[in-house]
Amino acid sequence: MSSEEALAIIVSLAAAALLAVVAVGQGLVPVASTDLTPLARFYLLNVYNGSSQLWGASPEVITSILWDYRGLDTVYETAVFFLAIIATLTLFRDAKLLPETAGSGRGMTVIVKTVTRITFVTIPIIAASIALHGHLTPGGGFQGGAAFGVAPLLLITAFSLRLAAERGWSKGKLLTVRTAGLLAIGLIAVSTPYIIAALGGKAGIGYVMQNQPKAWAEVGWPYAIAYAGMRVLFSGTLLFLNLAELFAVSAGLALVFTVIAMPTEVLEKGGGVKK
Amino acid sequence: MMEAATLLWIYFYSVLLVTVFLSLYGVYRRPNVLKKIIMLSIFGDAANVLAVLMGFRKNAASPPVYPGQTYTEWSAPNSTQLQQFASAAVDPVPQVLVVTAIVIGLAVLIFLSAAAILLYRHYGTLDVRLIRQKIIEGGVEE
Amino acid sequence: MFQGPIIFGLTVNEILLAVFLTLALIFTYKTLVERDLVKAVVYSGGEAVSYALAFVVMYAPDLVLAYVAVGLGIYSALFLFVITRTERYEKEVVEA
Repeated sequence: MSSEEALAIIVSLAAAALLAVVAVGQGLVPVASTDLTPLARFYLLNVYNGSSQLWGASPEVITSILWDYRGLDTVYETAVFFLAIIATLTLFRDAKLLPETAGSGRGMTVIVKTVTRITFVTIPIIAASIALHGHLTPGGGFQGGAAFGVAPLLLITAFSLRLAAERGWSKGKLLTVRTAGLLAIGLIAVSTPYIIAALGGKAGIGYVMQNQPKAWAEVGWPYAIAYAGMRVLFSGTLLFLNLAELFAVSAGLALVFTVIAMPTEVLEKGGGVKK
Repeated sequence: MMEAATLLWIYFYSVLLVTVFLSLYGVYRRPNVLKKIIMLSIFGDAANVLAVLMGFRKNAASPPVYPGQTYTEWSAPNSTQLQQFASAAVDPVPQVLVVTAIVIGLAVLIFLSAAAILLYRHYGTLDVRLIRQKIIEGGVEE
Repeated sequence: MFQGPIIFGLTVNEILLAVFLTLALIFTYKTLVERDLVKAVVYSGGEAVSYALAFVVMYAPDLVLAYVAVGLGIYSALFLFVITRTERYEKEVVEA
């Protein structure tokens, strides 16, 4: 440990303790609080309250806020993620994924490959379960997609990128799935005004990212359908948005790992940067 | 004499702020670009935990998810059950903001990692002092 | 309402939270001073797991699912890919 590091640690300890004591002393931060903020109380009492005008038809308060009450914010967040991946692809714009350019194809040992064969099936199942139960239990589209993204990563590291390229993976196909997911989110976002227009209602009533009907915008998505004598809860747009986000995030992560795992010479040539 | 709970919460905030300061020191002072990126990810993590800590409360006993609901077996609760749920659950708002923050952080780090690879292609090193030296010497075009 | 035992006016969750946050701080320090970047990535994975456990204690299961997948799986893999493409060891800071 150099003297500079010791100084940095001492200074940050002192500054952090001072800041924390001042913030707690002035009442700027909650300390062992036992009460909720009014906004939190509103969400907890209204999201799954069938008699409330502002209900979200979902027992999962977080997913409901994420895709319904603050839905437009999440759409833009997905757009930021999409742009970051497009920017990464642009940096390696000329690197093509072909079996000839995908490296040696040797992979790891037989033990690793055998374990990967099992987990390569189970990880997508768990990811789909997380995403499809996103409106009922903890989880959602992004959590499912991030878990799904581990599966292509395992395939690339344990087997090889060459195997993936030979099985027909390409940047174009993954980008198509990615774009289709984002497009589905966009279409669901503007669906309610169009449903109203198609049903012959007054134009301009429904708003963007509307899930359930409101008193001032009476057409929304249904939250349950009758199937085989049971009522199946799917919470309006939430199930479809989670599914679209699952496709968008998992394909985006697979795309990033496919590009970054390419052999160094291919990346170097594709990056357009002089050495 | 302060209560033990107050002291413990001061300790929570102090530990998180120390983590934030140390990671910022790493971003500012470590020479390797990848080390800077790693410390930046830790900075984001600590900030996220700080946000969720502010929504945590002492007497909470459940996450903000109404329990026991499935696709086919579900029923909207009455107001007594809802009051019970609200009295036990933690604040959902910081958690929602943090989910968004995690996605944005992932996007930023993916782009920075790709940029670091190209930086190494261009300068042959990830050490910012050597990169600075090369730029001053004018040994690299563009 | 919270039903568990209360020790010196502190709940079990608060005590565990203090442990996990301290663990994360130790991992952060180890990441900061480590010169071998592969080891630094492993330490930062440990930090992500500590924070995931802190989220368990703070009743945020959504964030746990996100953190285990992102913090431990995707970040580590991404950084290791970058290390294989670039350099593994960080050079000593030379005092000016």
